[in-house]
Amino acid sequence: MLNRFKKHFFKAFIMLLPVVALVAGMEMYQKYQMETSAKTLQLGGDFTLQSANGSFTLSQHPEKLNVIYFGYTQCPDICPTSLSVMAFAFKQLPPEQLDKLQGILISVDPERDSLEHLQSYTAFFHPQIIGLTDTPEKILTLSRQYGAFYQKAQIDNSAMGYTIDHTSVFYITNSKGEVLESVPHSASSDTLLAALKRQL
Amino acid sequence: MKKWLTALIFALITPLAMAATSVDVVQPYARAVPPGQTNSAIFMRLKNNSAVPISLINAKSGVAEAVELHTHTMDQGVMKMRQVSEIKIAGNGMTHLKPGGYHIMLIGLRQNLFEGQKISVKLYFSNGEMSVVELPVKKVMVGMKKMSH
Repeated sequence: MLNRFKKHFFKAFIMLLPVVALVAGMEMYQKYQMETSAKTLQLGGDFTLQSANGSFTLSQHPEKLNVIYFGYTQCPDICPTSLSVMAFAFKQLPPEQLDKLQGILISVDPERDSLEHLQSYTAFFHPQIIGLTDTPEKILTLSRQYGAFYQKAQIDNSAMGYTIDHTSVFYITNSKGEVLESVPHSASSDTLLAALKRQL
Repeated sequence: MKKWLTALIFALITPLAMAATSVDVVQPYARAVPPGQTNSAIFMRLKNNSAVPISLINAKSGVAEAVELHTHTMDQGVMKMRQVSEIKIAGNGMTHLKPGGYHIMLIGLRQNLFEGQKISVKLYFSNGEMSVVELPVKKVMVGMKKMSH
């Protein structure tokens, strides 16, 4: 009885070996890939986009720490909440630190957002937030560079026509556009404020 | 004697009159928006005073071309807004319409919504009741957990 058990156990063990080896191998490969991609994958980047006051290039403002948010003005709730969060975090900082900050709303809805409206929209929240956009192709490429995601969603029988599903993240970047920290969506400004204090 | 009778009648009628609306609208407000903005949203708490579930099924207001019920969901970090046919309030329960969740959406604003204004909205419920609600326009403040000003 015990012998038979031993035999079967041994058989099962031999059969399991390649599986274990395969899993271990895959794990190691994944780890290796993650390590190499972490080296090459730097989120963000410099850009030139359009504003109501002409074109805006991130790297032309070397003294600034940027807070970049991808959204759109017809966004009824999430974007205004996020911009309020940004404005509220800005208001908590002393003037000398606030001077170094630049808030940026990049509109992912250039079809509906005019540059003029983007300007008045962002100024409503805080004078140090500007609104930028460009051609849909350029915005899509840039959003991918930053790891932001959005897509149009048709809502049936709604007067909205379409809305845009999107990630809601603050990207804190230096003037080269390198993402130093990203802050996920929150209805409170605490996390963003803490991140800004770390980076200032 | 007559006084007593009047008092008794009032005592009987008052709760009936109050019970005419099964749903209390608590702290309603509309979001103040930048000039020229075409959309906004209304938030509130809906308290169901009856034991049976009631739904908010429709809303109307003169300030917008269309008024719809919407909700937000977050799917793997992606915010999605969708129209809903009703917003349920459990029997003796409360449903919170708040930023990031359920809201009454104002689409195609006919006027700017500035802080301090008052607007009116009609709420239609599944039990056939209708409430006219006057509500203030407010700037949605965030981070108020710590601050009190």
